[in-house]
Amino acid sequence: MRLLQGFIGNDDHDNLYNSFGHRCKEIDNLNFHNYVLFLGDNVALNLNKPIEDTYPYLISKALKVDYYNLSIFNGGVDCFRFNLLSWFNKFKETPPRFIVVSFEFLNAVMVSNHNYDYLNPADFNIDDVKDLYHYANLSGFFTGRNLLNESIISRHINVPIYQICFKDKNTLFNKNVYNISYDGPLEDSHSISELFVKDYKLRNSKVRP
Amino acid sequence: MILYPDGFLGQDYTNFTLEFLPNDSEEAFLKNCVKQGDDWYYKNTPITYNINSYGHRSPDIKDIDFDNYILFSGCSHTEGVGLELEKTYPYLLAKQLKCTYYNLALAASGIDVLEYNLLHWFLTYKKKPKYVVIQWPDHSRFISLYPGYEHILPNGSWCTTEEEKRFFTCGESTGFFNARKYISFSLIKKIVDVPIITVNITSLSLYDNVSLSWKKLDLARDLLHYGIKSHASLVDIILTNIRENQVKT
Repeated sequence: MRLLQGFIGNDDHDNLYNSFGHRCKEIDNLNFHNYVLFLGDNVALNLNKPIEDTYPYLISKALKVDYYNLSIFNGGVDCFRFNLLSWFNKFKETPPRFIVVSFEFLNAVMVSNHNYDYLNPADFNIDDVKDLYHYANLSGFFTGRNLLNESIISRHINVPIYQICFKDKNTLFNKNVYNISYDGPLEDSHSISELFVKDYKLRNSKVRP
Repeated sequence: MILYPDGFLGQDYTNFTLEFLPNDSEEAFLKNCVKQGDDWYYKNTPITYNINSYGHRSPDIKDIDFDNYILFSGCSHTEGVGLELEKTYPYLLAKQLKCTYYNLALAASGIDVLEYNLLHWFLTYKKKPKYVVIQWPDHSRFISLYPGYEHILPNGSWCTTEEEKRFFTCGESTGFFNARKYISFSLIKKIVDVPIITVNITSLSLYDNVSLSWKKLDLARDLLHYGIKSHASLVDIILTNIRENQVKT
């Protein structure tokens, strides 16, 4: 993971990402007049499959819009907030039509050293990291962190927010959001996409005389 | 701490005038009077804490000249716990620079609260301050919220439960606190598009190597926080920094 050119990006070991470390086309090639912004973590990246099998690709294709995918592998809510607010700060004149948010691990945390030489997702196989999660949970840390994140984003991101809610997974937004609940396998991007597109069209359909 | 409807995090009480605070208590003051003797400055110098409508020890937002103001953020040191308002460095610096000011600082708060209030300010008000002064708080502090409760609890080195102590230990050993502050201050520096003056308190973990160092020269009334000379010296340090045009943007 890296903080590069103003955004947090994924480390690219297998040529999966663009020059910013994001799983989508380059920013320079984005149609800023008609696009959707995707944010979240692992499910939106679907790293074991070709990019054509990620739900951001499938949804944008079905809705005939361009898209950018700011999702970060195991990035949690801190990377989400950083990338979302950075995007709206940099491209405030050309916001997306709406944003789509999903989390497999909302409460993931990052680690670094005193000199900030690296920024990595915490490795859950390490005992201290397991303890960190356990005691963060018990001391109300995650609840507080999520409250502040939801508040700052709900107040200042003035485009519709769609939240895909996975079964037994934490979600960030409790209000001012369109929720789409998905119970199937997380790697099945086609089903996620179909559900989303159906729901989106239903919500946005107009009654014609 | 409370998240107010207009979006700012502030102390639990608003539009209130107090002579003492939980972290500068009357009980401690009376004990200190005995220890410090008759010529102790604070023995006969009352302190008034005027808390505004957002729970901040600051002039009200309506009283700010939005074309000429400085914004401050930090913890109790910047809030000025244990000091008369006129002796705090935000008041003194604004006076020296002939500006109005707003002070977002909150006692017991950490980088999460600091980032939140600063971003909320910058995303709410179009007119920007001349400078933002940020005094970095202890990097391990955080707020918590328990289901069913309205009040937001600040947590820090004063916490005594086993869960909290273990969380602080693991946060340090894993590098989580480093990453958290790295992400926060990187985001602040991105959104806050005016000159930023950052201040490290020398006894706390450093945030970076470019912030100004603030040393403790004396003590405030509570005998814990930085005192009158310390605040005056920080004003000199910041003014020198501004004059030398070394403000980090």
